[in-house]
Amino acid sequence: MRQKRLHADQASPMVEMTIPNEFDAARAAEEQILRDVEKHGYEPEACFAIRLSVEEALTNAVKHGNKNDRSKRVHVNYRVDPKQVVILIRDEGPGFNPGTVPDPTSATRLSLPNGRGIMLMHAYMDEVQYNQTGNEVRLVKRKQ
Amino acid sequence: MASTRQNSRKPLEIGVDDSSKGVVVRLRGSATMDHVDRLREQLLDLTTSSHTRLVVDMSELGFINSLGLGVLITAHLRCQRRGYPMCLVNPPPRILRILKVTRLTDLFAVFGSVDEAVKAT
Repeated sequence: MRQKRLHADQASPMVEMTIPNEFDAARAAEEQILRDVEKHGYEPEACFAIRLSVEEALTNAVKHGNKNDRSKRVHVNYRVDPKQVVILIRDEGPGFNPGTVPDPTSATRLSLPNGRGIMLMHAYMDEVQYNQTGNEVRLVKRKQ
Repeated sequence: MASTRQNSRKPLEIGVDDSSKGVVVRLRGSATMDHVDRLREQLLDLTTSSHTRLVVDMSELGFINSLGLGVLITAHLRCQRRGYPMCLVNPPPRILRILKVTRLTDLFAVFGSVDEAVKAT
């Protein structure tokens, strides 16, 4: 895992990681983010929400964005400050249009085994935004 | 809630009891992306033969993601095809919230205990 801490104009540094396109590396990145979030005194429920959303975003990046291609990388940038956590997760795939993802809670889709990741991120985070290409998601959780 | 918090960081453990009550699968710890393949393999393996029922005890499950939910759905559909029920037992509040947010409480039968699940199915 390549990693550096970028000092922008914010009080807390932006941490930048580039990880291999595999679940073990993604889990290690997720644990690092969670350690930083816990260190900043976020409530357990906020930590759980961040954990779930990061897990979903990284899973999407590895599996759907990069299509399990081990020659690709996932780019994870995050900043934890006393007011909010901002996490950006980008894959090296062509991107997608999140507006076309169907509602997984509709009666016709309820018994399908996939398609719930994006709705979980929306349910648990304060902000979920995709870039124009659709290969980067920005997650924000504010401290209550 | 404290034990739920602890279980949300422990690796996933899967225990299986096969008794007159049916097959009871006890999930403990955290069903994260790096453990989902094992969950899929073990749970779906249990749906290949006929039982009276498949009960998934979630009382010590601290975390599950959408991949894990997908495994539960696939197992549920396989059980249905084989003509026996699959039910979920005692999901902790955080897991129950995930099931409610995704409306999977409309798909799965959820009970407070293994005995309740056995009585009702």
